[in-house]
Amino acid sequence: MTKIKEKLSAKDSLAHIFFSNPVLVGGLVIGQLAAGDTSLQTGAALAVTFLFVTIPVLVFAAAVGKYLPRWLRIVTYMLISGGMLFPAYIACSGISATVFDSVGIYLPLLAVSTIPTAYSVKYSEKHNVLKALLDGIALSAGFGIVSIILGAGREFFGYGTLWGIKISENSFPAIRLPFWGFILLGFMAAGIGAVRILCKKPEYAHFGNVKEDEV
Amino acid sequence: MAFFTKGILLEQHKEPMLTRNVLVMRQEYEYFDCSFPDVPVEELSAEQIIEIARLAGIVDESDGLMLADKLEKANLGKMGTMVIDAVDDEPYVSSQMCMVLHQPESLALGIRLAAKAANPGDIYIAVYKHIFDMNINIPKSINDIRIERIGGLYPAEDRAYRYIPKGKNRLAVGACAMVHLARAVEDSRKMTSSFITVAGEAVANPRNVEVPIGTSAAEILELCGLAEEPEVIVMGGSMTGRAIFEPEEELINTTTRAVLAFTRSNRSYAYSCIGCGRCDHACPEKLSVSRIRLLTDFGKTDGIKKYDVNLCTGCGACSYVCPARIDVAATVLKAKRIAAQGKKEGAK
Amino acid sequence: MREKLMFQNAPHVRQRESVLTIMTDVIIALIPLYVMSFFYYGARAIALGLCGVISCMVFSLAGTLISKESLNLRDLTPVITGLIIPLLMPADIPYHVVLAACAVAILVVKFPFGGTGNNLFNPAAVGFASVALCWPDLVFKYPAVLSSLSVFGENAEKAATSPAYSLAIGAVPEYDVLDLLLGSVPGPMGATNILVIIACGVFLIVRKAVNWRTPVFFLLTYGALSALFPRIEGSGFDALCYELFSGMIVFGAFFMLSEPVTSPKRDFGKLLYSMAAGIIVFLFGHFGGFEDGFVYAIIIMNVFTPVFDTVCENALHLYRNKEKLKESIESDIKKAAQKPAPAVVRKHKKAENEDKAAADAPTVDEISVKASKEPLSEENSFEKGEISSEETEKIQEENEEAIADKEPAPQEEHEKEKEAALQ
Repeated sequence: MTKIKEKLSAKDSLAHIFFSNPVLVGGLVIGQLAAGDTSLQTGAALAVTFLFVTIPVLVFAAAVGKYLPRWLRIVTYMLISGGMLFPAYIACSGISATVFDSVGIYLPLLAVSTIPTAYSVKYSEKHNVLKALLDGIALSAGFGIVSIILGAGREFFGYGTLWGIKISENSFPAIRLPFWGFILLGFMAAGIGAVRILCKKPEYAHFGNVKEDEV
Repeated sequence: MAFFTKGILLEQHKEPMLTRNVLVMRQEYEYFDCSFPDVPVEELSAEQIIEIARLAGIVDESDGLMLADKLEKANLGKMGTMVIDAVDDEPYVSSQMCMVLHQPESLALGIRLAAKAANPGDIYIAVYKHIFDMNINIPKSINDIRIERIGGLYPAEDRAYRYIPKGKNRLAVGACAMVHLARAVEDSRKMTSSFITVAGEAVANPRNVEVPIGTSAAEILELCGLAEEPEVIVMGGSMTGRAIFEPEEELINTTTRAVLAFTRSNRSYAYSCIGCGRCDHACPEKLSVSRIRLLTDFGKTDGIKKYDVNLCTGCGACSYVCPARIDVAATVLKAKRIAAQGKKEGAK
Repeated sequence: MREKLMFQNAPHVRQRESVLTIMTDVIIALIPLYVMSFFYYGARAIALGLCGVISCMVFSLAGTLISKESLNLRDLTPVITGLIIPLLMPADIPYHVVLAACAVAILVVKFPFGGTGNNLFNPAAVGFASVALCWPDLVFKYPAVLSSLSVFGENAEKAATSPAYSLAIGAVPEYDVLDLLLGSVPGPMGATNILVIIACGVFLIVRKAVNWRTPVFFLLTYGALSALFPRIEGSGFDALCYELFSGMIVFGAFFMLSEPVTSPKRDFGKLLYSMAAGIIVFLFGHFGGFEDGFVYAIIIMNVFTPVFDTVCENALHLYRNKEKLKESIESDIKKAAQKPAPAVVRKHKKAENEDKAAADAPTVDEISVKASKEPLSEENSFEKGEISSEETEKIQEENEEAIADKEPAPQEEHEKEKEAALQ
């Protein structure tokens, strides 16, 4: 029986970095990564935006959100996450002047993805502020690792460059397509599953749900 | 074109059993006493014939009923038809057909006696048409009783009744029962034996045999000899029989049609499903067999009722045509059971 | 004897056709294409075929070991994929391209999704599509026919263009229709010999490895659309021949579109699937980037296969339950036509007359029996309904009066009885 955990402990929060990765185990936000994450710069931009968009919303949800009336909660969270796109834009300009526009729509899509809207309601409202902060940092770290590795790999194999610097002559342009983005994410998810089986941690087989009978 | 033709054509494998005559296993005959004195056969009345059938204990092999009851209750009249069931549309099985081919005189005598008892307007012997590997000719008539070749694909319920519409008076009696009736009338012999087919790749000498009722499968296979160690021994027909594990303990009864011994089980060929859809095509009820099998094998039977599994008749045509040799029919029947249980629980 | 006996479910006889015979038929149908490629391009064609087969088998072995499935040496599906992939390529393609395509086909499309029988897309199509995106210059430039190609060394870039390229840019190909049929045009190694492909396709259809509806309806739809909207000027029949016989259309129709795993299961589903595929291939030809977008169309259609399966299943669900549906429709009509029968009339003095009246009014069973025997014309049922409704209204009014008068007394008696029983 899978029982949904109401509250996450600190260990579970830290697991978001690797074993309970939101992208590779939870399957959240994979569309944006597969389609928009084609180079190291875009991967970094996505990671930074995710950071700016997620952490304030989760902290707000833990601090104030549980006191808001139900009909107002998600609206407020989305307004906050949408508003945090402005600092994200400034931060991304630090990476490169054009990266925010080149990723295009996938960055604002992060603002309305599952984590600011559903994850915050499901988990962060039941935590205190510090726990939500830790949660947000761990989620961003997990997402960031995947986003950067995927972006670097796709840029190297798809263009032969890394952060714009040409490294190798060969390139396989097919990797730039979203089809291959999804396939590569699938292989990475399988890799995490293999590591999880090797390290014998069956409790992280599902994102958020823990099979309490088996642990 | 399953829109027009419902069913599949089975490969019959009836040779060499058809050409060889019936091997009789040594048995003790039993006799009964008649209450009425010896009368020439032609002058027996209907009641006397039925009495003889009852005393001899003749059981019709096609449905297991007492022949005497069937003849007594048959209300045929001038428009009624009596069909002698020698159809044998299952592969390998040919015990009824060999009565037509190798014991025609007894069969004809038995038919005449039964006709006297039931008094129909029309009699004919029904033999299956689509047997393509025969080395022997099936005659057009035996002693003026015509033989009709009945066509049709598998599955067909009541194939013997195929050309007789439902409302008419009709009676189907098995061919072996007719032979037993002839023997009972001529020699006052009780029915102590049964005609079965022994066949399969593992059998050295496949043929039809007459064995005493109650013989074990092991003795019958010893009678015909085993060329190889069989992996599967089946009692009953080839499409509807059951696999047995204790040949010494499984005994023949009056309705057993065949004992088959195969060298290789179907399971040794198993591939994974390639999604060809032949099972869907073969199903006479037009179920989505491939989908039902997939859901049941992975345990996801929650919404399986909407695939209409309750319509499955268990004919096995889906398993027959599956090129991957998957046990499709067994899985669909399992799904049918699960759906029925789910319904009961839901009603509770 | 007893030790070796196994359990087996009925039926105990199976037909002779098995997966092995089906796959061997497909391999037999692919061999004449290799013979023709050998005739046109020399031994390199055979070498490419061998490379494809061996690499596919090695990758398939690796995949089986990684996914811990049992090894089935009779499973010839990687051989078929390994034979199809080189036939889609030009004859002077480097070996590493074929290796890459086979690696993608087996290790990305087949095994991650479950192995044989579980691939979501056609493996050869995805392999070729990925490779066509990575090395478009190598995959779409063809050597001239009957040129001698060295088997292992480098070949000079023969920049002959296939008729498909001519059509894509809107020019009439400089070859005869007869040349197109015989295959003496530059193009994919196995896809140019149209006559041989059609003969092999007929062989496959007769042997029931391929359902005839898939290629026939695909070619009919594509041909009809091409005839209506030709890409080149010229007499209609010639334009149609050029459209149909250049590129991988005919090859794909017989060998790739009809793959059993990725096409719908029912005949009607296959028909719809192939017609939709014809439309999409036509659109790719007119609005697509590559000169031959057939493989991309196949990948798109493979995604929609479950849709066609569901459509057929729902249609058959209605067909299977048509008696039940008819009955439920009839009962709905009956319910709408008649009003409820009069309530149970309490037996007291006034009610005796009403009893008689209630007995005279037609009961529910009588109405339903009459309705089922007579044809369901609306006038009949409504007339009867009106008659009974008038009477029932009368009876109901009288009932209500009677009940209002007599109700308290029987209730009090009943309560008194209850109290007496309790005490």
